[in-house]
Amino acid sequence: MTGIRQVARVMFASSLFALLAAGIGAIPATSAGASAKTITIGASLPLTGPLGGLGADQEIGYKAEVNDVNRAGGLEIGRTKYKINLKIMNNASTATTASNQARALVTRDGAIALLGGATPTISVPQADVATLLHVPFVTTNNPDDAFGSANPRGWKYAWDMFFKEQTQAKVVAKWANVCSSNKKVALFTDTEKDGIFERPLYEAAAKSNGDSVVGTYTFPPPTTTFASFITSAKAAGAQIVIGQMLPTAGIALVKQMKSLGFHPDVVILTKAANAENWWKGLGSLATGSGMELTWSPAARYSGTAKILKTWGKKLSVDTLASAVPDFGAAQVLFHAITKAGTTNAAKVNAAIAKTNGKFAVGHVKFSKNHTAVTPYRVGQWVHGKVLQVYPPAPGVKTECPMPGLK
Amino acid sequence: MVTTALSRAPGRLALALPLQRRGAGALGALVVAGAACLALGDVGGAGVLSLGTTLFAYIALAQAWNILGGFSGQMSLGVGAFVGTSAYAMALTMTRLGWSWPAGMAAGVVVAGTLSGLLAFPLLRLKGDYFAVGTLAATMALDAWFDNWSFVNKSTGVSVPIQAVPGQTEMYLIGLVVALIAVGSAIVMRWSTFGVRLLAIREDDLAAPLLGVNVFGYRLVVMVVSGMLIGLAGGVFALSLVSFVPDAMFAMSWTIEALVMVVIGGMGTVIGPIVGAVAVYYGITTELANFPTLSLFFEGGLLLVVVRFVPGGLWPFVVRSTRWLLERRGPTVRIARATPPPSPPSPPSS
Repeated sequence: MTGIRQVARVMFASSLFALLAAGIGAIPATSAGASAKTITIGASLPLTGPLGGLGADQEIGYKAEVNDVNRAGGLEIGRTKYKINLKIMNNASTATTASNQARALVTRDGAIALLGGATPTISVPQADVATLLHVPFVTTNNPDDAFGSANPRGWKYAWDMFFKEQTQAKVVAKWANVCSSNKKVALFTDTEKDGIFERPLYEAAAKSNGDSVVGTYTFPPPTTTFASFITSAKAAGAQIVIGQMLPTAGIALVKQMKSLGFHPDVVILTKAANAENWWKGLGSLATGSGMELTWSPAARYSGTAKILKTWGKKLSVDTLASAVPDFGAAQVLFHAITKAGTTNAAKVNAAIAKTNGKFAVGHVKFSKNHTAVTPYRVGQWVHGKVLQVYPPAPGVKTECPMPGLK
Repeated sequence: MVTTALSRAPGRLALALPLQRRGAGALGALVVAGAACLALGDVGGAGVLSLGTTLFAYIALAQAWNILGGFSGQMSLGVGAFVGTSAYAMALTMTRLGWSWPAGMAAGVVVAGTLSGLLAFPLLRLKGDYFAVGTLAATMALDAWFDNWSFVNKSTGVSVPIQAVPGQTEMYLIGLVVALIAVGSAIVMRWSTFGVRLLAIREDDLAAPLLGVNVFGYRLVVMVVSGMLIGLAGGVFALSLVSFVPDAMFAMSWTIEALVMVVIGGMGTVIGPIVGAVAVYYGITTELANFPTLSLFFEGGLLLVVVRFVPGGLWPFVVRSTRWLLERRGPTVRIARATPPPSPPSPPSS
């Protein structure tokens, strides 16, 4: 009996080592970025974890553009068309994994360029890897100044296209005043790079609108308990809540506001409300909450009609609002590769720098700090759908006070 | 043998003869393995260099945990504390003082070692689970502190200057050297008088002082050495990641990775943590990189299987099994082992 057990154990160990050996044998000694008629583009996205909602929308955007290009016969480089192999990895919203995966995509899978993940926490480590490995990296979902300032010496291979924080603060504060309230504002911001940047800007924008900021609450990103902050904001009589945080934190905040009987007239939690799981997580509680729109059907950009025709029936506006900027980022990268006429990293990078044209997110032209400003709007959740309310779209009016919390 | 070793002056790394022979052999094997890895780096492409760098850093991390947990029996949950402080010390000295990466890494090792020494005084008063909880609490406290400390940019984190980060080949070499230092330290500790005393402490910390072993002193030294080795590995991780935030560098995941690697490979052995690091990082994490949840599932599953069926870890099991197979195969081997050494001629009976 003991002998049989021992044999079974030996077989178990042998199998394990055989598996390992097989795996080690599978490591490519050298990676080829472009095989015959195919090029690899890598993207490490937060498909699960706190940023899972944003990552899922990013995947839709990137895949849509790659499918479009491949359906049209491939990407023209020189005089040859190459199919694009988009290699997507899930970093589970973890910065260290995002960094390691970006490295593996280049060194192991032979990606000739990278598309970025969402938020500076994920994108900046990836941009660092791209800079170290000299690989072009185009990303979105990172407010411009937070991304631009993340590398004090200036980015070389990393490019970001998103809105400016100042614009965001002004637009949000203006929309918050569309509803008549007591003009008392409570600010909830996390301590991620963009949250730190945004808090003083929100404060200044609110004050310039004649609002008084009666509470500013800051917290580390994973925080999901806000009872003391809510009690304080409620006691101060705040009727406007402006915030910037992760979706999981935002969902927890609104639920706790409801349970603690805090019913502000206006609630807009940027970044948190952008993901589809905002409605899934909150249901009717989300009705009337604000959401930032980096793309809207009301926009008249290159490809808007095509986007609506292709995806309009399949995807909701909130998903499109998140996915189209990523679609645009992929457009910019592929446009640059075609313009460069080669997959040579330095030449593609130089072509990205020269980008100056209309794409799905609007006009894209990169500044010296490697960021391109895209427009910013505010939408409102109404019965599970998002409608653009600022600047006001024709026939749409802001619903206030926020029905979900009443 | 143990008594002979224990009778030596405390703190002296003098090797008893049988130990010395085994230790020298292990160090020789380490040199050969290092040369092989060096050659692999030469012929391997970017993928091998990148994979090797991280794998070497994990081997160092696992070995450092093994020295504390496997050799001295102190189960630490505070690996993140030393990875984090070392990485931050390195990044801050490089950005604020303009130090080069070797100087920054040295600063990281010193800071991690100092922290380890300082923490040892309160923590070594605790035993067993309480020690583990204490190390975890210290790590969480450091994470919270760094998250709110302006000097280290709070939760925004810090970056190593990109232009100062070595190239891929250099990173591979740095990782290799760090792994060799960690494994070399483990060999010296395992097969020295110092190591024998540590084993005595691990097996019975009440009986060890009766043999003249200074339990606190030895544990203090081991904790500092382990902290410094983790600091070395933390330096490699810092150079690889370039920019990082407190939540990533003081994370519990560093401890879990090290612990899982050591338990799977073989705790208290020198080869075990290497086997564990390869099995976990290469066999699971890298192969299932696109399925992080599945990867964790497999890591946990392998841990359960090893703990249930191969409790000593994979390496001791392989050694035992190989010996068993050899003994079954050839009667020569069995006879050779079974035959008693030739006895001296018996004196003539009177």
